[in-house]
Amino acid sequence: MQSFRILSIFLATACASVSLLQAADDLARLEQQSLNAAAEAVADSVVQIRTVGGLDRVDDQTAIQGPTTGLIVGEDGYIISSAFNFAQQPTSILVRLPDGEQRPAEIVGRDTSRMLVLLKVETDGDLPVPTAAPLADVRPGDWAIALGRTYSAEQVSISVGVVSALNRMQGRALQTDANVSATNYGGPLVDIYGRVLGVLVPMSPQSGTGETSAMAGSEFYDSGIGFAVPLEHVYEVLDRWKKENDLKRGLLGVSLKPGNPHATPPAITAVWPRSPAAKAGWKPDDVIVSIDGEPIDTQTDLRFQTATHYAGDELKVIIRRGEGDNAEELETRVTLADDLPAYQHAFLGVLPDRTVTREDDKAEEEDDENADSEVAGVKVRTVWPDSPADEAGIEPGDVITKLGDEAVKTASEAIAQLNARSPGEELAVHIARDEDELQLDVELAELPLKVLSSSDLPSTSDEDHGEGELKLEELKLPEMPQTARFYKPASDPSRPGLLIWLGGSGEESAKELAETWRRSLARDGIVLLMPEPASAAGWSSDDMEYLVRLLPTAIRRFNPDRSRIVIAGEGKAGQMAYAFAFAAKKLIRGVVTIDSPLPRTLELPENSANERLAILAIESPDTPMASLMRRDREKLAEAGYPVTHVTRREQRDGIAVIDSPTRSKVARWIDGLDRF
Amino acid sequence: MLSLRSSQRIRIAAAFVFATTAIALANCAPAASLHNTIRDAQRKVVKIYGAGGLSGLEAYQTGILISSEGHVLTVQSYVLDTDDLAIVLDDGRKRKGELLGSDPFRELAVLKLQLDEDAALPHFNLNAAPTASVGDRVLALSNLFNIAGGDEPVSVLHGVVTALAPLDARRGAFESAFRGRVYIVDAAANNPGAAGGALVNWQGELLGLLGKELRSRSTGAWLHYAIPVDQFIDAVDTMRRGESLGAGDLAGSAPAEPLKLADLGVALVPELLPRTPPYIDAVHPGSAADRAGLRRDDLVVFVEGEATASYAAVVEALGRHEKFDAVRISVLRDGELIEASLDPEAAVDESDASEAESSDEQSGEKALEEAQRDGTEEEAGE
Repeated sequence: MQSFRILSIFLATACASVSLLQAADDLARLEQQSLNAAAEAVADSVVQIRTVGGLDRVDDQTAIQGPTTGLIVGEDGYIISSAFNFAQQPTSILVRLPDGEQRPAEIVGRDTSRMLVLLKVETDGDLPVPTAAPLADVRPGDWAIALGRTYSAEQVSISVGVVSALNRMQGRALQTDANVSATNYGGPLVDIYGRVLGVLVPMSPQSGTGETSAMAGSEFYDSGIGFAVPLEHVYEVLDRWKKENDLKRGLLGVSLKPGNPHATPPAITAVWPRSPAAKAGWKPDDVIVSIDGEPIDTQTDLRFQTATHYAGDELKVIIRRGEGDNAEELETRVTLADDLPAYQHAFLGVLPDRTVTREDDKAEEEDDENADSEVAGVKVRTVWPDSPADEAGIEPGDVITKLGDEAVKTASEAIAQLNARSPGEELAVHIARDEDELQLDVELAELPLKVLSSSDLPSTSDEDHGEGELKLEELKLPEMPQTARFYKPASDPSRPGLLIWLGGSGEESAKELAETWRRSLARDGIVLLMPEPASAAGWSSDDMEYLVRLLPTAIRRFNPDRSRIVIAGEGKAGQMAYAFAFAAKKLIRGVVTIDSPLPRTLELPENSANERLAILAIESPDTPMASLMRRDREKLAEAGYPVTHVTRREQRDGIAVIDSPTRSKVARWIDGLDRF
Repeated sequence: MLSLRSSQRIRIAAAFVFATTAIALANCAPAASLHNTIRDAQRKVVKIYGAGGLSGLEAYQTGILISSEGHVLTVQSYVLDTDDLAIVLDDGRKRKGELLGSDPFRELAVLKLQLDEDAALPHFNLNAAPTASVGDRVLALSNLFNIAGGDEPVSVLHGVVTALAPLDARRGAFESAFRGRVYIVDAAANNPGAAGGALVNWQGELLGLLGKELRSRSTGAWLHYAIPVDQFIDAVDTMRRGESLGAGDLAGSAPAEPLKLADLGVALVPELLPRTPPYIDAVHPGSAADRAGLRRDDLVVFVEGEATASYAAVVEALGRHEKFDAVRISVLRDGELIEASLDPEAAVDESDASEAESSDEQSGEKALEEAQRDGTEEEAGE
């Protein structure tokens, strides 16, 4: 007690003493000098970036117009910046180097996980590269100085704060309370020793998932919540980044058990086909136990371990399979992917008998069944050669009664069953053959790309051989000037295929077209509908609305088999066919194009389970667009569509025509579209 | 105005924290010197209450004492639009204020307190005001959000000078008239009610006056800034004399005949969208642009060192120059930066000269013209 009183008196005296005030002033001065020195040490590596052109608005926000900031990370001219600064996709980029020289810059690549951009400028001499602060030494509370070069080209802007937290944003960034905004995004966060902690970026938890743009997180500007991607990390990946150009978030391809991610263990409920997880042999109900030696208890743990990695990284993952005493731990290696493969339909390898399956008329079907006392199921018209069905020994005339555990009565029920599966999966097929019930096990394949030969595909109607006078009928839409003409085979099939051909204007060209196609149409029971473009100059995007209105009218009129509605066109009309087919993917089952690349403005949607668009790309020999169209076919295949490629044979007088073998190939391709 | 509030909610918290901390520092602590600085400075800041109070317009702002006899410098605003102006001193004394003069360009006003007593008030000495550098630690004192009622000292925020930069700002859709250099700070200094407050250094010396709430023109972000003393010291003298600065003082630097693209012989690719990149579409043969070597498809990136990110920016940048001014234009051609000097007058002169090469009389006329022009320029300079 005594000593306490003495201490108090001592303190009271000291407070009043000039020397302590002096010490406080000295401390303040020393701190000020240290802050200035730290900023000074890095300032020469901070560059000003100017962009020209680009979008005015990004995500309903006005994109920034002023200069932005970058940080030199390679003495040979590599500069890193925030993706925010390039969200407007500028036409040109200029970087002002420390010596005041303006240099044009190119984007080398992006890091779409950490929201960074890597630039390169040509440089005469070595540029000053800053030192990275070792993350292991950084603690919350450490000084953190944010630098930018937007206000002035000559002098960096400074905001002072502290490190607020480490390992934010699933381990991708550290947090600071220094002011972070468009005035210093792309600039460095510097420690008191003049080393760079990180590169300032706006970030939100959704950043890098593809759900938000580079602008996400910018709404927290100057709020005391700012983020910086550790420079130490940037240096680690820099060489790889230069080589690979783009660094992307890595995906596993699993769905996890729903629940609070901070408390729920990462139990897998589904494995995406052909995903990294599928390749690593993971199965539903497996539980992830550890990644690269780090124990994983919750789904949040899992995110922290995966979000810090990029696509292409290999992880050592231990999973637990089975329950209780039967549980075993498996060590797997999984290589993260940037994108999960598009959906591909699974293929059994049969064509249904159209004369029995009438999904739209159940009552009639049941009557038929009762009358013929046939087994409920899908009767096989033809077995696709070399398909899983063929290999398993399914024969024409067999009736498929069950797929897996589900009874199937119609082709559409069978297709629904297959839609839920993927190529490579095993499936038990139950069939009724004569009096027998058989179970055949097959491994499902991908949809076939080849066209069946005529011997594999018995004609469905051969009474009409396309003789006699050709008669065209007309289909007009109210308030639309165009006339669509159509040819219907004389056999008048009750559920015909429908081929919409985007040809030229006028009756003559329609007649000519119908004449050449007549035999094939008759053989395979297809109605040929020939709409004409609004302008004699040909098909353009302005005709889209017409086609959108025409299709339902045509469906009402012809009541076609829904699995054989096809749109076709040549050249520009083929591009129109592509555009329309992807826009009306729910109704259109096939698109046939001749020498048509994909429309450049088309955003190719991915294949989806409940739609079955197939593509037949016909190409003339020696077309100058061959390489372009090859790339397009790869793009389409990547998006999950079955793409059949055919080179047509003849060319007459320099004008490409569709020769008769190609024509019948097209017709057979249409005939086979209801395959599953 | 309403959405503005929500974005500022975060900033108010920061302001609170430091106001409290400053009081806590009254205990014996290493920052005793800072405490004294703050307390001294707070005594020189006043709270001003006037018109407003409706639809999100606060009826209060801040001011600083600039003389011992009660001259107060503050921002010119609707708050001063009343005969019933109340000024509350640091010690809680409430006095009436009278508007002496105003500066519509910098949006400043000088008030005079009606004092009955002969009190020598603590005040900032404008003539002894120092300047600050980027990175210097500073304090912002104001009655932001009217937190400090009655005899409470005003709130203190700390930060550093982030930048010294021209005020490139707007209020709503309107650009601010004042474009001079200001201190940008990293404290949330400019919030409702803060305008007219003091920015001081850690020695308590006045650096500048906190301005009204503005957003950056290029980023749209709210700015935190103060107008440096040297930018307004002369204007304050005028206002103290009871005079207001007229519209004539509004930096009337707009050129009489602004330079246009056509004057240089350049046509850019038509502006169909905002931010159309300024590619040259055509160069008129024999024009200044042609002579300087500019070509079709060059991308204009700088006009007189000013970056031009779009068609509109080029037109704006040229418009800051007179019709007869020579301008330096940098273009990007095949990934290379090329600088060209364009002189519209020289082009005219040359075409004249080529027609009249043989005539001494005409070239004499030209010399005369030039002399006259130089003369007018000198006049304009005065």
